[in-house]
Amino acid sequence: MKDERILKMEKIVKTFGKLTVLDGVSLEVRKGEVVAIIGPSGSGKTTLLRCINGLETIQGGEIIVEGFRIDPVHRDAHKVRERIGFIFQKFNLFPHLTALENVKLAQVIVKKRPEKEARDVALRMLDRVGLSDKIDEYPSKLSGGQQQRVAIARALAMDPTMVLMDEITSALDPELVNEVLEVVRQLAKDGMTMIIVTHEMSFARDVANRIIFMADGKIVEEGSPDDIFLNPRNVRTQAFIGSISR
Amino acid sequence: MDFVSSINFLDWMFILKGAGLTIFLCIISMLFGSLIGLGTGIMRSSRNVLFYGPAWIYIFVIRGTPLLMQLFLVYFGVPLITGHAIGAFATALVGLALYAGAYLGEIVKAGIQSVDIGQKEAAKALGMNFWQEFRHIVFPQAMRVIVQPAFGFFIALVKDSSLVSIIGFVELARAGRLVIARTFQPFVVYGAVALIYFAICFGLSRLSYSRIFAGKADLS
Repeated sequence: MKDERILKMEKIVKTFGKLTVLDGVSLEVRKGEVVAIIGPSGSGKTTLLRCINGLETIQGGEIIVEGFRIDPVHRDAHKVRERIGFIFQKFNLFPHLTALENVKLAQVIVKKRPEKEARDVALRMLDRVGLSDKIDEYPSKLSGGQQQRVAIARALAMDPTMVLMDEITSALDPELVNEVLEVVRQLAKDGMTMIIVTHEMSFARDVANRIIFMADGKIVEEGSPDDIFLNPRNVRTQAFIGSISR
Repeated sequence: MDFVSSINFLDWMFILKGAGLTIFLCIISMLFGSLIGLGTGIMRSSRNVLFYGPAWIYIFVIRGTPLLMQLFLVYFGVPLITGHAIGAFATALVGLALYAGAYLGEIVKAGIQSVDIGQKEAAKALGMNFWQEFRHIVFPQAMRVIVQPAFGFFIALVKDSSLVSIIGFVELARAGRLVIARTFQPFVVYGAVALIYFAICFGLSRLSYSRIFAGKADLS
C-alpha cells in the first residue's frame, strides 16, 4: 500500500444548534485504504461522512482532501466534490432519468466529457455492477439493490479518488443486501479508497483494513478488524461488540 | 325605426378580432409571467433573505390587491414616473404579467420544494453547481408538480383578462360590449363571447394534459 494521504481531518467539530454531533474528530485515510466506521446510532458516523464532501458545514477543525481544503460555502466546493463519490442510504437516483442517463449526466455536464465517451464509460460502469441488461430502465422499475448498484456506477463514472458509503444497505430488503456488498467487495479488491459507514459487521470485518468505532461524536477506538472485533480495549467498544454478537 | 338591428358580418369579425387580441395578450403575458414566476419562485426558495425578501414582498403585494387596481396603477403610474403614457396594450401586458408572475412564483416555489432533499444532495455530491443542479435535477422534477396548477392559473388569467377593457383596450369582452351597443342584442353577443372564452380555456385545459408535460416516467 502506497503511503499517500488522501484525506486528513483535524479536530472536526460539528454542532446542530446546542447539540454537538462531532466533538473534535481527527482522521486520516491513505490511498487504497478501506475504512469502516461502526458505532451505535446517533454516534455521528453519518455526519462525519457528510462533512467530508461538504454536505454539512463544520463549526471547527479542518478537512483536507488531496491537498484541497473543503469549504462548503466556497464557490468551488463542487470541484472538490466531483472527486469524492458518495453513496446514499436511500440511493437518490434521479427518477426522471434512466439508469444509463443517471450514470451519464454528471460526466457530461460536470466533467465535460463528450457524449459518446460518457456513454461508453456509463455502459462499462453499469456492466461492472452487473446491470448491463437494465440500462434503459427508470429507477422506479428497479429493485432497491439494483438502484443502489446504479448509484455506485454513477459515482464510479466520475473517476473518484475516494468513495464514501453511508449505510448503503440499510434501506434494502435482506435478500438484496448481498448483491450490493458483493460490488463493494470487488471495489475493495480493485484498490478503491473507501470510507464505509455500516451496520453490517461481518461485512465490515472482511472488507475493511481498518475499523473505527465511534460513540458520542468521538472516535473511541480504531484498529485492525481483528483488534476491534476480537480484542476491543475500550469498555464502550466491548459493550457494542458484545451487544451485536449476541 | 327598429332599435334592434341585426348582427352583421363586420360585427362578427370585430368580435373575432377582439378574441384574437385576447389570445395574443394572454399568450404574451403568460410567457413573461412565467419568466417572472420562475425567477420569483427560485428566489423564494432561497435561504438568503436578500433573495427571498424581495420575492416575498412582491408576491404578497400582488396577491393582496385586486387586479383592477394594479391595472389602474400601471396605467396612471407609469406616465407619472416616466413622463410617457404607455398604450392600453402595453398597460394590459405589464399588469397581467406582473399579476401572473406573483401567482406562478408561489406555484414554482411549491414545485421546487416538492423535490426530495436527497435529489439535491446527490446532485451536489456529483459536483454539480447550483444552476446545473437546478436545470437538470430540480426543475424537471418540479415541473410535474407545477404544470397542473400553472394551467389552472392560466385559465383563470384568460377570464381575468376581460378586466383590461376598463383601461380602454378592445379585447374580446369589450368588443362584445361595443357590438351590443350598436345592435342591442346582448344575449346573442354575450353568449357568443362566453363560447369563445370557453373554447380558449378548453384548449388550455387540454394542453395541460398533453404528453409534452406528462414526463416519461413516474416518480417513485
